[in-house]
Amino acid sequence: MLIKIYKLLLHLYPDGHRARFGQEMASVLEQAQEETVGRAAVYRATFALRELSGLILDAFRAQMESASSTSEPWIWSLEAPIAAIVLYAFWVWRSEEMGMHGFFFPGTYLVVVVLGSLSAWLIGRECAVIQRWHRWRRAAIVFSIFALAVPLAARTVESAWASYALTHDAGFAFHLPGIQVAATDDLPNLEQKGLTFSRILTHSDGRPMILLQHTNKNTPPYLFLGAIAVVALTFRSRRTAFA
Amino acid sequence: MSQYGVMRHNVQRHNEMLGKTEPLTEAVLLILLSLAEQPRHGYSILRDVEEMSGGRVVLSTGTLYGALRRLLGDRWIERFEEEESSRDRHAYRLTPGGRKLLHAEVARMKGLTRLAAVRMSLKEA
Repeated sequence: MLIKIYKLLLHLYPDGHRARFGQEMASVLEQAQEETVGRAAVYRATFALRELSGLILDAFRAQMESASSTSEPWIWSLEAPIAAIVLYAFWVWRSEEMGMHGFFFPGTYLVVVVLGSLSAWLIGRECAVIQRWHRWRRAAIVFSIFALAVPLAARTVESAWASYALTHDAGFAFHLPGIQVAATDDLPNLEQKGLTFSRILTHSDGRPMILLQHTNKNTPPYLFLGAIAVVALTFRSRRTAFA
Repeated sequence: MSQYGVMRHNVQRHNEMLGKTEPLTEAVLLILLSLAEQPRHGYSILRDVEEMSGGRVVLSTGTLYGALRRLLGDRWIERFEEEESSRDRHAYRLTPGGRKLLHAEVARMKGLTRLAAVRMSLKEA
């Protein structure tokens, strides 16, 4: 059983490592396992745990080593995530619905950066999962997935914050030029200021709490402009490299 | 130059000889020591490392082959097919560069030990 799982987990390694050492590693594990026969269950469980965790950790390290040895600079592999963010930001900016759907909530940037890094890795870092596909196909697939994942992730973070605010009866707010983001129940005050809001949530006792993501017409499309700047940097970097 | 100064200089020189800034990890040092005696295959290295450390260092196969991969990449060890083996398996041995590195590392550790002894005796005096 352990050998079967171990052989399956060997697929976590980059192809090169697996082809070179995979069979040998499984063979060494078999020999090591023979020594555990007749030993206490705790000893065998510890052995299995050590082997499986050791393999997973080293496979991760091997993937990292493989990624860092790829000749393609990181920024070149960011094209698909950046394109997806530009598309999403443009859609949000043009949409009738107010707000940026969580892009200004703490934690959203972290989610987007993690997703973007993962995408870049899949495209340009020769990740074992999709390395056999042609590069443009990798980019197209990652773009499609990322374009769905970013709005979902942004809204999930937004909902998590709103849920937290409701549960703890706590409001929060922060401001950027042209943008105000707030979770508050101070509805009269907001109406007085002429602000619009994206959503009304309710406390368990029925009191309203407003999740506000207000933008006015002069709001600079931060995300859109930022993404355009990164695209420009990427192309400049490419042109410099090939000049 | 004081005795302490000479020793510190020697430790620095050994590091320069190794062309590295960090000392070897215990696991890597034990693997190299295991191969210093004779070429070995993977399972034999596992057992030898455990024996040398008195059961304190028990390598998993993942950790072992991760270390072997890096040592092969740095050309400190080399891999070859065992001719007399009935099974199709590979063995590993130190390269001349790896042996030199091991000597330098051991010398560095000796230097550190001497340095520690001097410093501790100065404190106690």
